[in-house]
Amino acid sequence: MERDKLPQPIAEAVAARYPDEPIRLAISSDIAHHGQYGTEWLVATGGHLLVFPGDSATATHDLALSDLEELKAVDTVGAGAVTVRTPSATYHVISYTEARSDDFHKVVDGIKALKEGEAVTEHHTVSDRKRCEQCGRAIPESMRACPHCLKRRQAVLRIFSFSRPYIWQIAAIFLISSLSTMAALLVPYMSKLFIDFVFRPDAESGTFPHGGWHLWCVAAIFVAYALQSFFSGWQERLSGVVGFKTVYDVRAAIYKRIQELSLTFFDKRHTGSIMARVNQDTGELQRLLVDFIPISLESLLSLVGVGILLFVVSWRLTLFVMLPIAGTILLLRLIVPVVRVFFHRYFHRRSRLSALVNDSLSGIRVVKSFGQETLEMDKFRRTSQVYRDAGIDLVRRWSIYHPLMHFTIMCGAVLVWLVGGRLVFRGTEAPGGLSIGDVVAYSGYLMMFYRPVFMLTRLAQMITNALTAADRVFDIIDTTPDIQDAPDAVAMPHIEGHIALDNVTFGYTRHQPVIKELTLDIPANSMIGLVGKSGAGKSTLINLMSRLYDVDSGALQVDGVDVRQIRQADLRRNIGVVLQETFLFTGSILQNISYAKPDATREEVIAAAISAHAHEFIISKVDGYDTLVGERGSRLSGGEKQRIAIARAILRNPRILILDEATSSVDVETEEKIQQALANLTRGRTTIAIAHRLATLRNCDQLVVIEDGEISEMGTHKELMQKEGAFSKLVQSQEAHSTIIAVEG
Amino acid sequence: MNLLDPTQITFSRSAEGELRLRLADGSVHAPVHCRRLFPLTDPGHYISVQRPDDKEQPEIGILKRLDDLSPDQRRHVTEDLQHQHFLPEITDIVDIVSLHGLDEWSVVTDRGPITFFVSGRKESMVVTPENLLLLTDIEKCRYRVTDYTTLTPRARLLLERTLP
Repeated sequence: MERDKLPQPIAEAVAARYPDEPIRLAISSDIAHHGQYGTEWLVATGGHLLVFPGDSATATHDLALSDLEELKAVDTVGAGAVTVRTPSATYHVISYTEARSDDFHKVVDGIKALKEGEAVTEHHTVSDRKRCEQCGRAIPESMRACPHCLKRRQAVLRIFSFSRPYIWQIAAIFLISSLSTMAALLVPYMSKLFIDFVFRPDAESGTFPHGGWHLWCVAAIFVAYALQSFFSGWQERLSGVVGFKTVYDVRAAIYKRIQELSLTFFDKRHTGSIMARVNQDTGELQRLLVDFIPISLESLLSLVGVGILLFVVSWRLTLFVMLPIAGTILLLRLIVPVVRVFFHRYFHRRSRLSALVNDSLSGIRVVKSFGQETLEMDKFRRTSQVYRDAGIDLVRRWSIYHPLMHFTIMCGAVLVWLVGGRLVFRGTEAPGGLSIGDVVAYSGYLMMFYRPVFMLTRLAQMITNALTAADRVFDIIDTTPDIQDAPDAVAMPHIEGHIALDNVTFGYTRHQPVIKELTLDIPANSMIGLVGKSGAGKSTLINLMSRLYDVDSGALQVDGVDVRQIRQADLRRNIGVVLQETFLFTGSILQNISYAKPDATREEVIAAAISAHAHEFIISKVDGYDTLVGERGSRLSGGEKQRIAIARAILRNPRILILDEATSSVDVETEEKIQQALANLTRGRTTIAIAHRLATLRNCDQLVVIEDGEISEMGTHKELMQKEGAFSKLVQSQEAHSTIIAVEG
Repeated sequence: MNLLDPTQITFSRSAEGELRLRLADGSVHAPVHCRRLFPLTDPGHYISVQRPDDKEQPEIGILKRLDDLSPDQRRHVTEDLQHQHFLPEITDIVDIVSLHGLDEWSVVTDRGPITFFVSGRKESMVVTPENLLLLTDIEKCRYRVTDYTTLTPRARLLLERTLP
């Protein structure tokens, strides 16, 4: 609890001033009174509220709770303040940034409770910001573990845990890689054999005594190349198979988890960023597993193999050659980060340009109708210039670094001829002396040595990228859904449809309740109309009834059982939804209607369409029920989409129907059809409708007027109109609306 | 649009810190709050003066130019603006460290030095064609750089390595 972190001098100052009042709540802010980042403390005892600057025990505010007419945590842009109203003024006593907003709202609720003489509960206390056990840094609220100390090794091990089913293939990959490397190492040795043995003329006769070996050596080189190609091809193929299979498993795991997660998860994240995890991040893992690990495995093997051979051929020469190699590595480490920035800048500018083109082309009608072609051209020219300059900058750098790197590498080759040549002059008999063949083989090995060095310098970066992706993927796989079946959940295959809300409070963020202590009883088979301004809480209420969210306090019961105790599958099977935004999936009309019941027969689908008055327009379509609706149903009109959604709900045949009526205006005839379809749909079910149309309002057994998360009026249409309260006002203001007049007429 | 005549209005602050406004007709409003209408592109002009207690008609009027007020009056308004709109301007970047898909930024702002985490996603870093950079950290706090090309070369290098 954060109270324990209160600096001793402040605690003492409070104790000295109010010896009889122990400190009940304390919280630290992150903005000081002068508007700069800093710490101040808000402390509440049973009777007083005090504010201290972080480094001083002199209170800047000291207020008796009984003097406060009002106490609020008021959020402004990016920050907030605890605001008090005393008889003389309204002012803020302590400020905080967005990051502390939730905590301050809790504490302010707690101080209000203190003021009323109530007890402080755990809802009011702020847990201390979690600190990392290893490094002591504060852990950001939205993270589960300290980002500084998260174990990279764990992420790696987890990726490989997905590879475990393929352990034998991986062992085979390793073996084949080694064979391929060994074959490659044979080639420079063969060139040594050619020079020192096969082509060596006899000093006296001038003939080639070992000429008979010529064909054999050629054959050996041929076989070495063939084996190397064969093995590396085989290895590539095997590791590709394992990589793709592993990534497939990871992708399946992440998508399964995404489908299981509750809506709260999707509220907090952009669809785009979730899509990025499924596509990009798993793609990154794929690059690691399919491309990179095999290559670096091979690099490592040849690095070791070649390194050993370099020493074997001549350790003296190797010591010299190490110099340019070290230089190359150093240069790489210096240059690569710089070049990366230039590449990055270049790509960033490019994506900005393509975003601009996309934006302008998709709005081309607006551009044309406002005659702003020149403006668009100017915008394009400016962005394009910046992109061009980034490209030129990049090429300039590259044209320096690239040759420089190449030159450093070639210095190694020069050294071989310089130092190696001197060793040749010593003669093969002298210690350290080399033959010409040795030097040639050595050059060959040296060139083979550079490739893995290059690869391995990129290793760190590649692994970082892949592990970042892995972390994000596992972050989702590890998330537990907020809404889960209780362990003792009841099976309710048949639901009557009696819904009871008892003192329900709910908000999407904790400190902003959208539904406030609402109590409502909906008998089975009755039709309830929810009426109210937008933002009053109607949609939230139906979200709660279909248990897309769980209530914060109070209870929501179906047939006398708390919804949290009902098996989700049973609840969902008995609830049907027709939403305001009719969402159709890409596919045919048949597929969209039978989405509610995948095993429905064709007759059932047609029957549902007939009672939804959708059949009549479907038969006029060229492809009938097989008509493709386009992306999100774009090839159908609004009224058609609505009727397909109604057919979908009819096919589902739910006990409880949730209807979020569309406000979009359709022509009178279509409107009538939809009303008839709705009448067919609602018959004999418990229906909760967010009603806009007068016709729907009249049909409801009971209308519930919601205002600011609370019920302000309730009754039949007739009763409410006679009462001349909020409802009749709403109707009057809507009456001016032409569609409603049309319906009435 | 109700433009306020800067010579006809008087801001004052109570002992406790409540901002009050007296209009030409002698009426006094308290508490009042000020909001910039163009906080990013034109912070010196068009300040909306509001009374939060009036839900129906919160805006009292618009002040066209902050500099038209006397220094004394201006201080009252800027103090309140600072409180109402907390969007620190990053003046220098000390370091950006990449940790597990998060970037840890250590920066100096006009509100003092601060360290925060930004997720490497596009929506947390917005760059406009005018080189304005808006950052949102993982706790939803925002920061801005009005023109990132004016940062020191080192800061710019760090930044451009991180841009999405």
